[in-house]
Amino acid sequence: MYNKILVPTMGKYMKQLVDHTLKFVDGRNAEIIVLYVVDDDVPFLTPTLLKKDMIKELALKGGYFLDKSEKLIDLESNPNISLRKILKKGKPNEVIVDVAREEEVEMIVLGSGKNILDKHILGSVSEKVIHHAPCNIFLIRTLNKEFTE
Amino acid sequence: MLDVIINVAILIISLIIVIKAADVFIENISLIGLALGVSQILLGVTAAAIGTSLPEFGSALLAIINHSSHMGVGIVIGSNIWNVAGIFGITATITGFIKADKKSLSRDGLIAVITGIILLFLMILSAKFTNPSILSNGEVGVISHEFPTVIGSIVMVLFYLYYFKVLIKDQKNDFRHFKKETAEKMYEQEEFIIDSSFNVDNLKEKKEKVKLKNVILMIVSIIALAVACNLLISSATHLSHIMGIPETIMALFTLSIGTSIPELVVTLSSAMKGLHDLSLGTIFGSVTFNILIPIGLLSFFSNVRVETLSLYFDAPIMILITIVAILLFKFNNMKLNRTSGLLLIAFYIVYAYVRIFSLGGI
Repeated sequence: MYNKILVPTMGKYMKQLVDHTLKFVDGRNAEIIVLYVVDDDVPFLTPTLLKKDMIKELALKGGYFLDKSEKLIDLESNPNISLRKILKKGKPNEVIVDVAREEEVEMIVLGSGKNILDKHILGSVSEKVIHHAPCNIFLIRTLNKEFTE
Repeated sequence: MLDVIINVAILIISLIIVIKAADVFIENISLIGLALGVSQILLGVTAAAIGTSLPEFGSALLAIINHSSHMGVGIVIGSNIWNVAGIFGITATITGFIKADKKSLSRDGLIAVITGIILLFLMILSAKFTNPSILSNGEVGVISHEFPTVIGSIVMVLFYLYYFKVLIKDQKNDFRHFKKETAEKMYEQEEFIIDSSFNVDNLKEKKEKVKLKNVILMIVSIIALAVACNLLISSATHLSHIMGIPETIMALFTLSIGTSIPELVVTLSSAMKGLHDLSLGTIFGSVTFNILIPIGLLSFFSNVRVETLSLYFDAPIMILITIVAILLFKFNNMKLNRTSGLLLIAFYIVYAYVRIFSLGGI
């Protein structure tokens, strides 16, 4: 039960997500997939080179955060965990749902993320994932001011 | 009425062509540069600095060529005020905040303020030398290409080259410390499972041969840029005559906001993705480039006419708003929050109201 867990991250609240996932696993054998999605959606008239730069910058950030997640999980202290790091490009909510479906994960760990005002203005990846996920969701109440970058 | 509709349509279409042509030009010249062995860092910094500012440069250049140089100066100053007050304001309001790196804010913000002061100083000095009466009446004055403007132009261009050198140096250090290491790791190892649609090669410098397609696209885009800039300026001039709006007002607001669309989309989308450095760099980089290169280069070759109001009102406002934005960052823990964003938008609305209805003669 819940042996395959997907942890999507954008870099924020990563420590909280990892800590709660490890608490949830509680020493059992589990495979954790950490996913970073490079959001490649840009508005019309965005200069092509700057779009490429943004994607490149986000990919590098993604690689950095995935590495950081490995350090936070600390595989030496948690030998029961097997870790996979995935970097993908696309719309974050769609990619998260697709990966969850392809990998047949049993649970997705998400942060509640933005405050109510930001959610109305910017939309929320978590809310979109909740409605389309093929499995259960473990929603962590992340605090806005707590950054782990 | 039909005349107005036709000219508005020409203005919008030519604006889109200007932005797209500038994009195609920068992309292809960068690919050619890469093939010729120019470093990716140099090309990246150039693309970031010039990529979003080419529409302003092109339209300011065409305005000066078409003997509407006060429009050219208006585009430059108007764009800068809009970039700092409007775009920073909108971005911070929508995304909640823009985060600044202390070093980048000190470097780019300070350079943007110094640039504004250089322009103001040059305008006052030139007006005094060429037509002292400009300082006391409301006539349009001239920045001539006589001393001291030539010296001023050289100072401006040299100052920009110095800034450019600093940017490249900082970018190299940045790349060395964090990005290159991650890029190498992603490229060399199978440690990450990476989407097949991802071109990991882009993370490394890669040299290819110069392609004829890139050369043709570069030439076609620069021609399209020139033609569209010409159309943009002439339609704006026609519209201002038909509607009885002063040309400078047209330049300060319509043209400057229109040609700053790339800055708006880049700043907003990069802040939404958490790439705050890019947001900050785009705005301050454009503010610096907009003044130093168009005005600096063009006043060297041609007379640049400046309206007295631009000298006494717009240019000081441009410097003031840049300082205000920097202070808002500094006093809010290096963040421009939503309240500061709304404050900047309010500042722009008040400026526009005063400039158009109280001072602009409408």
